[in-house]
Amino acid sequence: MLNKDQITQFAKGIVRSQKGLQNHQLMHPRREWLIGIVVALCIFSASIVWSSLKYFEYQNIEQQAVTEPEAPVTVYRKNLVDEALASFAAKQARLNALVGKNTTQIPTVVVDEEAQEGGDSAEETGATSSNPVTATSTPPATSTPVTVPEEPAPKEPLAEQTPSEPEQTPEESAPPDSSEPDEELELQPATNVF
Amino acid sequence: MSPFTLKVTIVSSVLFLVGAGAFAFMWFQTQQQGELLVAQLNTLSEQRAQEEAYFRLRRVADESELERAELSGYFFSGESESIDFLNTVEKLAPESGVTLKTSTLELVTDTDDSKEWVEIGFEFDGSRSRVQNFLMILEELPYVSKITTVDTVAIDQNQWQAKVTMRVRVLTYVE
Repeated sequence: MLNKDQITQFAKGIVRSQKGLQNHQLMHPRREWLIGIVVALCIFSASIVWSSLKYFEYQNIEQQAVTEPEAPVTVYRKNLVDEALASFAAKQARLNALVGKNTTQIPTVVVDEEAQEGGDSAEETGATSSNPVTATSTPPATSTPVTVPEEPAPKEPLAEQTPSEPEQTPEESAPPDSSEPDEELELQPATNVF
Repeated sequence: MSPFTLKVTIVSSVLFLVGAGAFAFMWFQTQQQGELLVAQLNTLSEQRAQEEAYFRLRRVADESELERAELSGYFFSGESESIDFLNTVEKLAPESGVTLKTSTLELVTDTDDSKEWVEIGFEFDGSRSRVQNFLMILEELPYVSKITTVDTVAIDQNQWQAKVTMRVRVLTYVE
């Protein structure tokens, strides 16, 4: 005889027993096929997206690669070169003026005043004086006009000696020489460094 | 599981593995070829940049040839070129009315900037005004030069003597 407990336990066993395979556990060829198709499409779509991204990435790389590395900048300071050339041209002009001028006239202020009074004719004749620097291997003279007026060559004053002082050369008759023979010259070492 | 199902499962697995392997291989190849492409593009761009820099530099060099030649003329290319310089100065001296003697001539290196200079010492005498004038002439010589020392002495009332040491720059290129 079955007692009450056994009957209850038997009933629970029947209730909890398997009711067979569920619907989703059964094989449905159409469903499995569709799932396969969907998975394949997902993989295919992911590949397309990834390939497109890579394509655009590499498409932009060429432009970036060409534009990114800048060529080394070639610096040629033309203004500085022009300034240097102008400076040397000015030196050349001053040298021409010094070589051609009368050595008895040292102060430049006096020379400028005489230049204003002397007119352009003296300048034109002075500018054509020979330039010993350009006659040698030094650079050719530039076209900068001579601003300081040229005076007669140093040898010419020898012929312009006054009769009252026949024994003196013109440069010796200059006031600084005769009046202050012991005076120290206030010459500073010039630095002309380019 | 029926034999047919087992067979289909095995075939499907093999195909999946083959497909995955092919996909991995293609992905790896894509990455590798991409890196190679980037490297080649970088090399190509560097080459283009170098070519561009070369042509730009060459154009600048061609356009500035005369200016550079003129500028280099203001330097000594070597110690031997000082002979022309001395000839120039010695030619200028009698024209300026002074008696000139070259005392020293040597190649020196500046301690400050380690640049080479040709140091030349001159001694000249004449009247004060002519000595002054010749000093100015030395200052105005169209060279990259500097007068380092000037020493003037009055020998007598009419005769002055000056000792001048000047330096002319030797042109050297820094690589």
